[in-house]
Amino acid sequence: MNEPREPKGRHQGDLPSGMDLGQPERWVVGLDGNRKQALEVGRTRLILTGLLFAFAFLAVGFRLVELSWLQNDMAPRIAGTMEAPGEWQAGRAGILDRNGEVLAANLPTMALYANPRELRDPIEVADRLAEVMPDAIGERLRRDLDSDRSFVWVKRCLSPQESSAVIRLGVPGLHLQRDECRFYPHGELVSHVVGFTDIDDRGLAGMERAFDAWLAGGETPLQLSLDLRVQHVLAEELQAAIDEFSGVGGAAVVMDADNGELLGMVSLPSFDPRMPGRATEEQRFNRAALGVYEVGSVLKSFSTAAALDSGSVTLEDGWDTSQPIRVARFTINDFRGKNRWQSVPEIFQNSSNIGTVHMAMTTGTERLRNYLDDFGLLDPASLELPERGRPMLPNPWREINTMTISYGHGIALTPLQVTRAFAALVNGGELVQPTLIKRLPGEQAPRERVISERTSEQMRWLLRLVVLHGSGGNADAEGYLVGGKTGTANKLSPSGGYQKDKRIASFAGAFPIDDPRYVVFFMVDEPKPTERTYGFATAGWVAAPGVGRVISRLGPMLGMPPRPQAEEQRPDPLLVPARLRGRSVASR
Amino acid sequence: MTRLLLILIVAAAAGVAGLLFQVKYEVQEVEKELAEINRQILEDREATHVLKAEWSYLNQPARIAALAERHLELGPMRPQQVVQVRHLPPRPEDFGYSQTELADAEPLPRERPLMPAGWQPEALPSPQRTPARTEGSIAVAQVDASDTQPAQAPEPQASSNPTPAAAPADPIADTIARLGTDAVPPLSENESFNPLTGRPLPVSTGGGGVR
Repeated sequence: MNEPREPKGRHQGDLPSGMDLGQPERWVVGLDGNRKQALEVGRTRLILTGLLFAFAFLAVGFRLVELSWLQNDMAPRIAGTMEAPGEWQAGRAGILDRNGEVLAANLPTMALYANPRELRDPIEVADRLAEVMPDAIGERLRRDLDSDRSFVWVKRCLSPQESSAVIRLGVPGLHLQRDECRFYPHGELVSHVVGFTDIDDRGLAGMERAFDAWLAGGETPLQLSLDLRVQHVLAEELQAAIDEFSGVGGAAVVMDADNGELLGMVSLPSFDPRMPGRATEEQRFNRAALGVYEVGSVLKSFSTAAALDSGSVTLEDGWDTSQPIRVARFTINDFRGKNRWQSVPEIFQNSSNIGTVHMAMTTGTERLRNYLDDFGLLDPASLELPERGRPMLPNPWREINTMTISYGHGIALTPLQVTRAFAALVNGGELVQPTLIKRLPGEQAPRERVISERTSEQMRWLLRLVVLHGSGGNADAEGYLVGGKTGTANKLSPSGGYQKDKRIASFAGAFPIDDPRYVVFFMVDEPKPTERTYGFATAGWVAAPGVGRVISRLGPMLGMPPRPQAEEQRPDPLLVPARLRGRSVASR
Repeated sequence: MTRLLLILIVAAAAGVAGLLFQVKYEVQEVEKELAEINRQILEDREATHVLKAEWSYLNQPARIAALAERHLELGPMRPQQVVQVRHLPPRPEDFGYSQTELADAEPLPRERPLMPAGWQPEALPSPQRTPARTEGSIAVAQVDASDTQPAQAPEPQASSNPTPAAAPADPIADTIARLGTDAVPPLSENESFNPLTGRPLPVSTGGGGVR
């Protein structure tokens, strides 16, 4: 630093004499005192600053080299820490069927609104809009557009065609805005289960309402236990039965007998969930879960099971069914009775009211009632749906009620309850919790024992007997071993008492009956007799054939191999093995 | 020396600055790309969502059923159409023929897998073989006393159709004997066995029957 300097100029005046002749080669100028000190301080600061900058630049340089050359593979990781793309999310989660088919989904659409103050000719705009969107509009739109407001909804949930048509109109004052709309691809087919929402996406009915908060969270779609194909088969066959017999409605349910999953739940007439407002009360009514009906002889399955399970009656017992039972002012008679002594299997097969009442009286009011309670028939069935019917029971429950209830009169139940109890009847005796949510693989449904395995087996024999030789013959589906029970009940008239010509025809069945996988319930409301059925409108003619067709279509669909008919083997291992006083009692 | 150092430093600074700018622009470019891709992903997800709903809409069972009826010659499956492999009738190989000998015959509609070694057709569930239940207290509905001894029901094929089984020279009969055919009754020329009903059923010459 002590380099030689030529103190020309500024120091010249200070030079000692003789020095102006030139400087010797190594001539050092020394400074002393204040000046020197100031210079030193300045220099030190310069050096420090220089070093600082040098370090900074070096650091930046190193980082640069490091980033660009040494850590080439960092790029993806760094990109990953950037804000994620942001999952596209519908404002409300969808609903799927058990196979992942979309039953309800929010779709991005456009909403059209107008600022009437910006419109030059509101009436003309309204007319042109009406051309583009025929279903909206009319008078209301004209009035709205002609008003003095600054904001008017024209229509929400525009289809892509509609929104592009609106854009092509190019009318100033009309504005499009992004919006979301609930869309139900399967419309009427699942409307009673899925339900519907209002324009602001609040669930108003069905699963939309039951899981409103969960769906509004919008995370994962809700997967139902419904199978769209099963639902379709049920709806089609039920509609066919209703049409053939000019019924006013009907309900059909298919339930997994082991884990309680409802694969199909149909209530007809149905409604379009896209326009619930236009549906009638009748259409919106869920007959399968909310409606209560007298199921008639179907209830004999439960009273017979109660009688057998309590031990008060065995398959070898029998009664004389030729005499009507007279209690107080009632007379209990058989529909086309046999007028003779019948064994228990015969009573069940021929659906004898008299015989069933005898069995119920042997069982006793208290016990029968307890069994019906265990079967879940006296309380509303628990299910996710908000629409659940409460059974109608006699109050007080007298002896005469026990008698009529034993064959299914004087007690009104929801099809859901009957299906669930029927599953308990055939699946080995355990009442399972029905559900509309798909169970996880291996998930065990909550269950409660109602009747013993042995009674359940006997009931399966009896139910098969009904289909083979009793009133349920039309329900048989080749290869699928259907067992079940028919039930025809007269409807109550509003004035009290039963109406002779208005009936409810129902059938509860299970297949394959030797190891039931599925329970089917089928009900037609107010079937009228036709010529083809020889003037009958009983369940054996109305509901049973429907069940037969449903099962023969569902079997292959649900992956069940058809099996040889066991009854072609002699003796039939599925029929009631019962012998009484030396003769086979279930035979004719 | 000093100058050199200075020049070096300046050059380094300039270099670093240039590099810095380049990296910066690269990063900007990449970020733009990323944003674009993210936007695209969102758009695609939204489109997927819409398409899924549309797919479901197009898959309405009623619509598919109508389309199938119009365009396909298929109907609902019937139980008779389902047969388990073990119930199939024996194949030509079981009788000492080979497929090549049938080369001149009608072409077969399907390919057959090779016969596994030691394969034998399994027993058919035939009504005749079911032992009658004899437990004392147990009888069966719909069966009269006379029927409960079901009387080895007449072997329908054996009695009604005299078959080559009688002729010892017949290779078919031999094979049948070898296969232990209490299970598979000798088949007549045009008959096979329906495993569901136990009744004979006509067999097409090109199909699973025996020529």
